[in-house]
Amino acid sequence: MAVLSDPSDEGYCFAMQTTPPPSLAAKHAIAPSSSASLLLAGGDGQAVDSLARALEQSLAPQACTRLALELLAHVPVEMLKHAIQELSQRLRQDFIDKLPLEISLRIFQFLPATDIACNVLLVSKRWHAVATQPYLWRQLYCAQGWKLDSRRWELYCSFPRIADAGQSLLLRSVTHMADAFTAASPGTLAPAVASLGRLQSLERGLCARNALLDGGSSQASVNSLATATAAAMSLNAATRASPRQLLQHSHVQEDSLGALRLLGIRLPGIGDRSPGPGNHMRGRSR
Amino acid sequence: MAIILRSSNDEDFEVSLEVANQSILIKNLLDDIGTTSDPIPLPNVNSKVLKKVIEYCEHHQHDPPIIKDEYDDVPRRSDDIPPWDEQFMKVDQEMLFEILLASNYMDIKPLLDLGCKTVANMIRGKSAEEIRTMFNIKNDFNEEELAQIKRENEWAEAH
Repeated sequence: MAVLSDPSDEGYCFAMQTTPPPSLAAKHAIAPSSSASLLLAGGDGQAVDSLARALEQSLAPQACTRLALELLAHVPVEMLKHAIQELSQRLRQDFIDKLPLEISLRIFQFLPATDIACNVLLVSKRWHAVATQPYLWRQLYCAQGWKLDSRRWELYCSFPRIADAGQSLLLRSVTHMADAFTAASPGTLAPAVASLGRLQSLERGLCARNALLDGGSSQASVNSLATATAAAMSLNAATRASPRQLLQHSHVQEDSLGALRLLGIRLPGIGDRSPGPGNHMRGRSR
Repeated sequence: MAIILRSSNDEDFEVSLEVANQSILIKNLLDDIGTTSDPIPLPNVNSKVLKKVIEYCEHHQHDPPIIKDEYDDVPRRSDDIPPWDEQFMKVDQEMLFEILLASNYMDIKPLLDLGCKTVANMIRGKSAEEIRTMFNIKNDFNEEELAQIKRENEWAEAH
């Protein structure tokens, strides 16, 4: 809008001059002659488009602006309103797409988690990609007043890979992880404690479910078990839903990733299959 | 002691040391080379934006310094913008965008956060469609994908 009304605008000043500079006049001589015939031939939207493109290619941006302003100078106010609306769209920009990732994340850190989950994630693929960064969710998790006990987390990360040590060990380590989330205030402590109490039955249910899905042998099933367990746990804390509800929920698997985001963590070992026994699930928590 | 800052379009701005030092980029530079009467080039910041940034730094030059470790742990909120800052941020989106980039580049954390809070406040409480309109964004999800994301985030609806 400012472009149209600013009296210091170059196009406006230029219009005050009596004769255009020769270079511009020369360009004018080429563009309108070819485009005028286009207009005569069609007079429809397509012809206008072609004319616009031809002019755009042959004129400098300043001249284009001036031409547009001259054309708009005599249109009815109603249409002018429409034109201004259309143009003002161009002054709006997709901050999250254009800014470096670290600034975009900083912007999202000032929003409540519910705004991000319910609205921000749905805006566009780019927004979704930024708003699902584990780093962001770790910050949001901490902003809830919850803390990640890094000593316990290290302990959890140091458990041997499941291929070596067996499934029960992983389950126990997941329990440890649950312990690691200590709440800072009584208000947030309650759901966390409640979720721990439910963990036992939750594990069994998920264990059975995954065994059915994958035959219970592959690394993938173990990983998904860990993911789903941790996720369901955090879902518990987040929604205060009962484990039964969670298990009945047919999307536990898909939900797990979203819920992990709530924890702000990535489970070590997932998508990271290094060969050979004796590998440790080294923390990728940061 | 005056410091001269040179914008990307070669315009010089004279500021006090206190003002210049609010940019950690410049502070570190001056700490390294000592105060200098040579212009400090800022090739990523044009005059229009630099002028705005300096205006902010001049207003805030007597603010207490921020202790970094504490700063990063403070829970983030965006409803605490002082009136002067709010007025200062009443700019078009283009300028807001440039201020964000410049404050990031010049490492002026309070200004960067002010910019981020301003954008966050534009997003807060709006539906996805309202956000798209606000920032002229095209929805590149199909119905199925949107339904999937909504399912994944049902936990947040109850709040």
